[in-house]
Amino acid sequence: MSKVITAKNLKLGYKNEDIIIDASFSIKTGEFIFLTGASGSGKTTILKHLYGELKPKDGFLQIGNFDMNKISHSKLLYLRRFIGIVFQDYKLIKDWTIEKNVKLPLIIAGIKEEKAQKKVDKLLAKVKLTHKAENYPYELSGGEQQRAAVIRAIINEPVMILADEPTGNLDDFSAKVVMDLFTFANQLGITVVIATHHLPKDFSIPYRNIHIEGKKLYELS
Amino acid sequence: MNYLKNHLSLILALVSILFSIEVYFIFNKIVTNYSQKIANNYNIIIVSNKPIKNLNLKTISQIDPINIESSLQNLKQNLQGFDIKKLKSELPYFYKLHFSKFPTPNEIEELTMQLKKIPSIKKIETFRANQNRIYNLLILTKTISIIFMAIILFISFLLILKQMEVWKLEHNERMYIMDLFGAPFLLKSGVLLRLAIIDSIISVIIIGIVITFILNSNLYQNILNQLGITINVNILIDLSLFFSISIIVSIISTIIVIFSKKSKN
Repeated sequence: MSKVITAKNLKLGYKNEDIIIDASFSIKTGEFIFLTGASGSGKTTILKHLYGELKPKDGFLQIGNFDMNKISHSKLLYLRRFIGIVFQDYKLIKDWTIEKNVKLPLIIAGIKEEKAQKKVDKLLAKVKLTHKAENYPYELSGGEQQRAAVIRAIINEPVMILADEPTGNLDDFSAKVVMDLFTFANQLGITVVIATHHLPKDFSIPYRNIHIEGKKLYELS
Repeated sequence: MNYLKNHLSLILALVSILFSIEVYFIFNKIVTNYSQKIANNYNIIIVSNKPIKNLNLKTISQIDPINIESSLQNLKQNLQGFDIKKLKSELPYFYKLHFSKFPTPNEIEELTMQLKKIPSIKKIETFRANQNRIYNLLILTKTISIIFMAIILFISFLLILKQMEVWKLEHNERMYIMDLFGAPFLLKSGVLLRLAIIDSIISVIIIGIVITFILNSNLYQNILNQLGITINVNILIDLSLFFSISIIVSIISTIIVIFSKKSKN
């Protein structure tokens, strides 16, 4: 399996603060990764570097074939078309319907309307949101919004999904539904990286757990 | 209502900009036209010992001899034994000098100096006091129109800045989310660009209606009649110019919003 992410001696953080130091790891295509750690340990910071919102302070970080230290804005936009991102606060566009929100990656990819609509309908049906297709995000519950956000991340079959505390705001039932969606995505061959406080109970598929503690990364068995 | 609010600030600013420019254009045309009219009526009188055919002075468009025949005939009727032939032979030559454009006080001064250098010219009457007063009035009118335009442009600029702040708040999150999924510039900024173009079109339509109303109003026509001038305003050319100006202003504002968002991220 080819490597999706390669990190060597990474130092990550903000101007006056180092959050992660001397981190080396690699993630292969189709792997399921849980990135765990306490609040403020640096899970979100790592994800921000993986989708290029921040650049590493030091070390080497490669996503696909792109060196994240040197990547230009236009190349970053191109790279992001192969990454699905899910946030704890859903980040759905407020004045767009759920259907249009889910369709966003297909619009960006320039997929024809008819084909895009079929894909949207199929996934909305899968997460039981067909009846909410024309609704706006504020008309949906948190669990429903997160389901919409996850299928938006999956819809264009990205190489990798990055999820930042995707079940943090959800009840147990909704959290289970969302985790099932990530499992479904992984079974399609998509690499999934989920940042979370705790590992989910009864998780059925093989996964790796990278844990952050004291600014360092540890692989837990 | 929200849609109207979204548009109103930019439309108001654009209409103000276009209106102030149009007012400046109209004022400028009135002043230029009126200056030309005064220039046609204004002339200098010179008295010369010798006949003058050409002075070779660039500000002078025409030299007309003054016909003194009627004045002499009047004298002849009033004075007994008046020898008109003898008087005619002793009288100097009188000329009116016409200008190609309305001269400035400096140009009059310069011309007077040049005329004084010609030995045959004995007397020059410039009617300078009257001319200065009219000239200053025209300059004042022009200056007021420029100051008016500058103030409106400044206020409109502040309005646009304020609208840009509103746009930033309203569209930042949407553009950020689209950015996360790799949306290209045009797709990301499509909503704002569409807003900008729609607002430009609405502004040009509003200003077109306002100008047509003003140009056809009795007040405007009365002012032109009193000044004795006619102004040709080609509304289609002006509106095309205004459309270009409003598109440029609104698109620049949009691009500033988009790029300020990008740098913030």
